[in-house]
Amino acid sequence: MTLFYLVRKNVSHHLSSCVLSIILCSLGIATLCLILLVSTQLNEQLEKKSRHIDLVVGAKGSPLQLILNSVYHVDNPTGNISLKEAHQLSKNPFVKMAVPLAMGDNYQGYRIIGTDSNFLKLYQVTVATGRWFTKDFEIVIGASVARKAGLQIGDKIISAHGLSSSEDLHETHPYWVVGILGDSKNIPDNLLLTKLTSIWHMHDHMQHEGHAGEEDPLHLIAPSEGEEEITSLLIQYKNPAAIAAFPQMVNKKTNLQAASPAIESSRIFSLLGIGFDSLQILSYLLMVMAGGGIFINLLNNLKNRKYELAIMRTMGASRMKVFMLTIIEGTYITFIGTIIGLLLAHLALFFITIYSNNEMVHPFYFIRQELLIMLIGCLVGFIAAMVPAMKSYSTQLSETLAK
Amino acid sequence: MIDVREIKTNTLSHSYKNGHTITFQPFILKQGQPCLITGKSGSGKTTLLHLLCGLLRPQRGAVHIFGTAIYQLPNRALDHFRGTSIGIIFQKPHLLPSLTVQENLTLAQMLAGLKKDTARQHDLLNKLGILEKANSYPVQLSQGQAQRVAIARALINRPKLLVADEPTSSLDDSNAESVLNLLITQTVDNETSLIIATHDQRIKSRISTLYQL
Repeated sequence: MTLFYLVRKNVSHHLSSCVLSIILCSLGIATLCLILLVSTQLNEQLEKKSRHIDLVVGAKGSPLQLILNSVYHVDNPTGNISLKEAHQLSKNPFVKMAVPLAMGDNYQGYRIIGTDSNFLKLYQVTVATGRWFTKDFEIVIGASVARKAGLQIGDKIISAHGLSSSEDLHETHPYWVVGILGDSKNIPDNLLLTKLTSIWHMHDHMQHEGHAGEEDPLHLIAPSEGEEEITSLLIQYKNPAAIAAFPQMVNKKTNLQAASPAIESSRIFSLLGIGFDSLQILSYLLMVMAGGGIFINLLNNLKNRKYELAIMRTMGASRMKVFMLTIIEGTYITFIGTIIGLLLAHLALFFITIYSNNEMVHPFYFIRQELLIMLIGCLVGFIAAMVPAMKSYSTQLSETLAK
Repeated sequence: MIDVREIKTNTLSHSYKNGHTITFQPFILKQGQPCLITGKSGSGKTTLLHLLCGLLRPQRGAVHIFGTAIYQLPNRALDHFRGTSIGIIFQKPHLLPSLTVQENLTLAQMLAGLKKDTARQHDLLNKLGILEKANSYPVQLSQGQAQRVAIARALINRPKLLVADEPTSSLDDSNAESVLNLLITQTVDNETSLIIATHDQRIKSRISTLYQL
């Protein structure tokens, strides 16, 4: 029989009085762990999705919007830029690779992007089945799109005008699916790629029909006065020297805007950070309450168990043993809470991913910080048990037994 | 001259927190003998018992138990000595409620630093007539049964000295009778010295050696 066995029996015997502490502790731990899991994974995802892109050049406006639009494909474009200007920039000696993006249509919510073959090199993906597009209105689709929309090579798809709506269909110009990209676990999975000229022709045609034009709120691609336009240009540098010079050159000497994914990603994080911080404070508060609960619990129990502990002393237990008994009990209670909390966090994440249907976070992703969280949890119990343990250590045997 | 076959003190004194000082005449008891400590309530019976079994350090005087000057031992060694050589029975059984009867006995062996001895546990519980309660929890026992478990717990490590503080005061006549019988037979069989502090008339008729306070 060990001290630990004694503690276990005692806790299960007084379970009802420990339950509240265990619940508080597990909620605190779950919140803390959930924040860490989500922020770590979001950070990793943001970083992964912008890994090979050093700079994005687009129309003047919010740099954050430009990055959200062209790197993460979530926001609207800032406007259009002329292809000619974009071409000039891509010939700059600092530039290793430049990928044009033209957007304005979607298929069932998945964005259709006009681009060229450099796109594949930038994202390091290949066409898994079928072939790359060569003619207008041929389209290559991402692995996720193919899976979720149930598309195959040879299928005909009808795109809709805008980045997400499905009202304004381009029924006269269907696309042919000619290729499906390999699974990259990255941005291309959820995109459909086509020739730049397909996008232009599509909207050229629409203008003739008197469709879009001036009431277009998205500044979508439309050749005006014969000049070809794109949404943005993704740039990879030749060498690190460009980091300082190139964006400055773009912002000062042209009427284009250069935005760095690294800088904007960290801005996204500092914005999210406020939310994370307040949740973190809440989780600490829960932990402190759990610690306080355990403290009061142990202190109360001590009053009832004083005699019990004294009897144990008469049976040969040293002061240290009685001290350790209380410490182990406090730590054990928070340990149970911590384990339940960690499980809760992963379970919560599991339901979040199911309900929100997103691929940004994975529920069964474990991080090293969880060990640290376990340590923090146990430490709370340890500290809460300190004073009660000291009290049981200094209990006067004879006085207690004589009562 | 210190005899290893007796419990011996010189004049002991203890000061209570309220400043009152109590003095006890020298006490001698041979190994294997029973002895009663009697006196009015408040006369210091419990204090003397605590002094004798190493629970309370006397202000003056020394306690020798079978040759060991117990208050010269370091704290830890004293705890260990108490666990292995002295069995203590209190007015109420005070078993650990979260442990079964048998586990309560195991705890006594563990705390004394001894190995779990199931045979000894069964033997004792059998002799005390509560073997069938081995896996019961204390709440499932009657008062008399619980007190017997407390006796088994005090005897489990084969102590050389058994000390009981009012062991029968909360029991009815028949239970008191059987508890007393157990205490006497167990100590005679094992050559254990027995000290009982009591003002219970039922006991006084059975043990002749008296230490009057």
